[in-house]
Amino acid sequence: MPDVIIEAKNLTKFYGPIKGIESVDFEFHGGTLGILGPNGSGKSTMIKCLIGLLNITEGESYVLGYNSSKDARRIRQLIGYMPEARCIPLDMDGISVCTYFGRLVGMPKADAMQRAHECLDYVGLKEQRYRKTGTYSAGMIQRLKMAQALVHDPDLLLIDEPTNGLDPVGREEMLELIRDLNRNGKHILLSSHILPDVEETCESTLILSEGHLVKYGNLNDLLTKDREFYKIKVNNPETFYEILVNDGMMEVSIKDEILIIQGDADVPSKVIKLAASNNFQLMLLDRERYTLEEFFVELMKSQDI
Amino acid sequence: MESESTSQIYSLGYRKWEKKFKGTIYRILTIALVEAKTALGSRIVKLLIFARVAILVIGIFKLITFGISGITFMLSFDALFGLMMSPTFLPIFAGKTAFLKVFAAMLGSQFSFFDVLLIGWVGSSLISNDREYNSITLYLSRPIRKTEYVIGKYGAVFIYVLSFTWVPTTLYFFTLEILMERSFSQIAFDIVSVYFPALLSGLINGLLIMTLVLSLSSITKRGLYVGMLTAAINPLSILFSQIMRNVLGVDFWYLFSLPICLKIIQLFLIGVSPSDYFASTQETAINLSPISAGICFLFIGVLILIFLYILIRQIRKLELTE
Ligand SMILES: Nc1ncnc2c1ncn2[C@@H]1O[C@H](COP(=O)(O)OP(=O)(O)OP(=O)(O)O)[C@@H](O)[C@H]1O
Ligand SMILES: [Mg+2]
Repeated sequence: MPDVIIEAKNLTKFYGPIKGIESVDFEFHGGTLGILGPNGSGKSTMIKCLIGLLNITEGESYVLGYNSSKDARRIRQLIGYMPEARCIPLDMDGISVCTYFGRLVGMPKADAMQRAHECLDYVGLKEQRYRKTGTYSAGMIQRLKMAQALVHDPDLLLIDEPTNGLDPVGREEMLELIRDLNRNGKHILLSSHILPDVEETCESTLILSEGHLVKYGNLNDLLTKDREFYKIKVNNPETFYEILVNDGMMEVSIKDEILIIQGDADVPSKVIKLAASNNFQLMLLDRERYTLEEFFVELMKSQDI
Repeated sequence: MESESTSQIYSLGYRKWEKKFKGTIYRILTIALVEAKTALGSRIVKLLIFARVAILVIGIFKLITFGISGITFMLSFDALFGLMMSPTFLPIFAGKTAFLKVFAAMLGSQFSFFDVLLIGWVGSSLISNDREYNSITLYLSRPIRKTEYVIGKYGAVFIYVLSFTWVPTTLYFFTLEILMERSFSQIAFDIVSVYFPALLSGLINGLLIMTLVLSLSSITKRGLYVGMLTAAINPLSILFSQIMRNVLGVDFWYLFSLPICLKIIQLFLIGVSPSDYFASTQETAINLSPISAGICFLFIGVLILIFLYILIRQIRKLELTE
């Protein structure tokens, strides 16, 4: 298997005049990668471009060493794709769907059938597999979609919003499945707008906003770097705010009389010094971490500016 | 607890597959066979097939019990299903050409009302359902080209078309051969000069209806509309052509009726003069120009191409939406 599992160079996709993604560059060296972004940020578009389901407008991408536009069919033999929409034909039963889509990759019928059963066992679809998929619940559909992505034993899985429509138990099972797949040596690219989904399954993350790549890197690094902030309460916050800004502190904001400062470990000493020299009464100085949600919202906000 | 069991199953039953992929033809055949089989699961399809088989059996039964010259009953039944027009002309044409005439009459328009309905029903759901439920994304996430996908779907309908034209054609042909006590050399000659052309004519019929159904199916997401439209085409076009012929006196009136057009092609292929045939089956004499068969061929060919073009364009246009 190549070193670089996925590589995107200036990857751009426009649907006519509508932007899907624009100038996305990254390299994924394997493991688990979570694509994060709010609705309409281009997550699904990116996945579809990677496996050649959409014509790329500009730039290029490589998956498992193959070019997404030119060798799309080769790529699709080697990857498993779990789409976001329902996609499952209605008038077949689960096991037939799974076998069918295994055969459509090119698996002989007997192999496809046996693997389909194994995959359905794995995702936890039991007797329901003999029922028409029209009668399935959202959770069963998600499981079936996962099984059909696994049936041909792909090396890389592209999973679009796996926890959509799942209850807390179903969601936890789905995430455990994804972790387990990774333990079994599958590379995983997962897209979600739910931060904890990514936090619980992925080592690295790629954050998209309005079609642009905002951040890409190791999840822990990203979080510890930017996720800390200081909360300050003083007797006259507006004036102190001016002082802080004049002193060169860039990332300061006021919310409900409380000053919020982004920055590293030298912030507290600076603040204490400034407060003392300007006769402000410091009532609170707290170091806090954003929850992942808040971090994300902040990140999106800073992107707007 | 659930998650533990899943991971256990994964590591236990996980069988490595050596990843020898089969080729394009295998995948296309898979689509055709699986889709044809899936369509069989529908209650309506089962019902229509049952009706179709019943008509076939009744036709053969009539032939055997009443003999080839005395079949005049159940005329309205025959007319309704466009099949097995009673060969009332037989006494007139008894003799050398009788075999051909009876066979042509037996074939009728080679497609009964039920066939069209059934093909409409099966074909319409094939592509429009995939579009409605986005399954097309799942197909294309496999190493499958859009054209392969369409050919596969085409194949599924084709399986039905072939059974509905070729099986009756074959049964009629050999029943008639036996009833008329033809010699082996005659049978051998008939197989080449009549049987195979009849199969070919069935194929042309089938191609037209399939392409029509699939192209309609790719335009709309509603399978029902396609079925209704397809079912309406035969009666409507007959009506239209009669207006053209009797009211407006148009020379090429037959072009406005697909069944008559196809019938002319069929007659030409199995070697019966269309003018003679219609003269013996219809009350009023019909003037058909000698080149009518050629015109019909051209017309049907163009129609097939147009429908095919619509189909391919629609499929090309399919941007995957979610
Ligand atoms: N088929 C399409 N035609 C036109 N525009 C599209 C199409 N598909 C997506 N878009 C647009 O592309 C942008 C990105 O959409 P995309 O579906 O990739 O977002 P997403 O991040 O997957 O969102 P979600 O979380 O809702 O799934 C959106 O602005 C969307 O309107
Ligand atoms: Mg999406």
